[in-house]
Amino acid sequence: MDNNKVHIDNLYQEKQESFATVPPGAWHDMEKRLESDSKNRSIYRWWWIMFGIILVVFVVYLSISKLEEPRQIRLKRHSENITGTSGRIKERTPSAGTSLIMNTIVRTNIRQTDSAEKLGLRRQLVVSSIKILNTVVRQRTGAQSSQVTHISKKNNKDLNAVSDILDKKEAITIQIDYSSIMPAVPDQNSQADTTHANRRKSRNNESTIAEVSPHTNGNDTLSSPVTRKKMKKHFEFGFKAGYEIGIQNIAISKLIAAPYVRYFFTDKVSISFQPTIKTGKAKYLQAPAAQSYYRPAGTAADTQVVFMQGAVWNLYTFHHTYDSIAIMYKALNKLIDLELPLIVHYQLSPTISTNVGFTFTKGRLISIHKEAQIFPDLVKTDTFLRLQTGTATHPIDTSASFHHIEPLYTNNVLETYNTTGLNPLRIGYLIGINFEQQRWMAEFTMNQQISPLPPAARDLIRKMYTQPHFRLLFGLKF
Amino acid sequence: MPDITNIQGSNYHNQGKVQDAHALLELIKGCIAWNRSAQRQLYETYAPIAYNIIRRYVYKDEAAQEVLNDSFYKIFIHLDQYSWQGPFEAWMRKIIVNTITDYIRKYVRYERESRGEVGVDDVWLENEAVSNLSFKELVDYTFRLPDLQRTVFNLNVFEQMSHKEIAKSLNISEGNSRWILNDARKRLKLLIQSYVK
Repeated sequence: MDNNKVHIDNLYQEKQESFATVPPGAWHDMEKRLESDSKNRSIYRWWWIMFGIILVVFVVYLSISKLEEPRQIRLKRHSENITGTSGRIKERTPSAGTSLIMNTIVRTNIRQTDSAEKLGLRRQLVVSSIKILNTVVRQRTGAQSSQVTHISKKNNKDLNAVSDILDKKEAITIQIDYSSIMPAVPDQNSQADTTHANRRKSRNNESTIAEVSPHTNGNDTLSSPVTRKKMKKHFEFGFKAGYEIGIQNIAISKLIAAPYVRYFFTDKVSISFQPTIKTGKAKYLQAPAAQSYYRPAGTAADTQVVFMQGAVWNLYTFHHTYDSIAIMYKALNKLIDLELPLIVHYQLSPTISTNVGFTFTKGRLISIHKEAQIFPDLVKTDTFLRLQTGTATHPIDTSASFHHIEPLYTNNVLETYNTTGLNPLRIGYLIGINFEQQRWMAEFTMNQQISPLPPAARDLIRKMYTQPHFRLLFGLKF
Repeated sequence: MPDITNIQGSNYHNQGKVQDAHALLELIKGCIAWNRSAQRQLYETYAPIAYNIIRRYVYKDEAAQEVLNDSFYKIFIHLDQYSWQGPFEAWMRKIIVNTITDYIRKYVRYERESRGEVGVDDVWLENEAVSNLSFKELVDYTFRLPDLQRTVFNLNVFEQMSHKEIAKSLNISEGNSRWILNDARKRLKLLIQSYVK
């Protein structure tokens, strides 16, 4: 090859050198970005620490509970285990404040096809269930064993009677009315339970083998009447997790995790503090934030001469190429908020309570980038005839020929909103309802931020935060 | 303790290079620990190299700075994945080029279909005529090319990427990459010739 010539690739490679200098503010922007990332990392770190602490507390609590579990609870669990294998024990616990155990029903269904071995097992079940229930009632009422023994001998039906019933292959319901040995206040639930049980009994051809008379001698030995108990002030701890959604399309759905501590002033009124971590990520925000435009790229016309009705017509066919441009809003950073709500609960029933509270939320407001998604080179075609002598003329005003649903794309500045990462304290309210069942709970709340956001947050970002959100949480009491 | 004999590698940009391998090791460790001063030192050391690469592809100052910071952000968050096997700068350069091609794929419109056969063209220039051209002037000529042509030309000439790699990186066919490179060379030759005449 000619030494006086140089290949264009080599020319570029040989002359390669530094030709541009880094803008002075570049590190400053980088540092802000790293700073924001550090905050996110630190929130994650705290979240993991908090999660670890809760886990440790939970494990320790479980271990201690296992070691020091009261015998009463063990007995109850034992009876539940028996129930799980071949029958059902339904223990009706009265509402808080009334007497302890009003009714306990042991029920077992006997089928005509049951084998002798199965009947034997059921017999054992019923006998041991009655014994356990007797023990439980002793534990809870402080009654002497002789009194409890007396319960099962009411109506001259002792435990041996179970065998007879089982031999006849009849379904059994054993109902022990413990209220009869306690001078407790009359309880409507108890009566309702008995009525309900009797109704079922007649329907299912069941036999009652143990019923307790209210005239038992046990009354004499009870130290004091069982009166309506007043709940003491106490703390409750637990953990909730769930999901939150907004009512508008531009909302970011969030995952929520919240340990809580609740203080009961009375059996009706309590207050809880529930530090909550909320995380969510939206890639593209949907309509109504998005907007489509059209941008004309050119008009081409084809012309044909047509003879029609003795005249010369020009048939114009226009092809209008255009770009459809969707302006989208993209969330640049993940949403991580720390919410500190203070909630007042009012107990409507043993399982349902209402919640009202204030929330204090801290977290970097989301940044949104406005960007254009271009769908290029779309074509619209229009055709019309024009009576014209001579040759067709170009160009023809086609503006009236093409109609687009979208507005014309002019200058849309593709900027980023909230680049500085505003982090104001936001105050809001929440209102909701709480369902509790033993150690589990479900909470449904509506919450909304009421404090205004700084002007730099822009309307779109503001709407994301100030719209009402609905939250569903499931929780566990420790 | 990782083997750091190769982490410096060779660098045609002499500016800003960390001369001592142990110093570079400490710097990288500091960045992995999210130490801000180490991050700043690494940024200030290698940003000029990165920026010169980026400016060959991206014309606007703001966009170039955005790509620069995107690249360094990726470098910082993935630094713990650096295997210490090859030169650190080569690893970093790969991230920078990937960030550039990501940007181009995302924001630059180009056709992906193949343009047919690729002919062999004369893309040689008179040495004497072009000897006075500066590198900045040469880069300016590339910005008169369509975006995709400039990108393919840069990836092939400066990053020594094969057509297979370019095609994968820009989501085009290999044939198209060849055609685009050839066309870019021809156009550049005409542009440079028109200047030097």
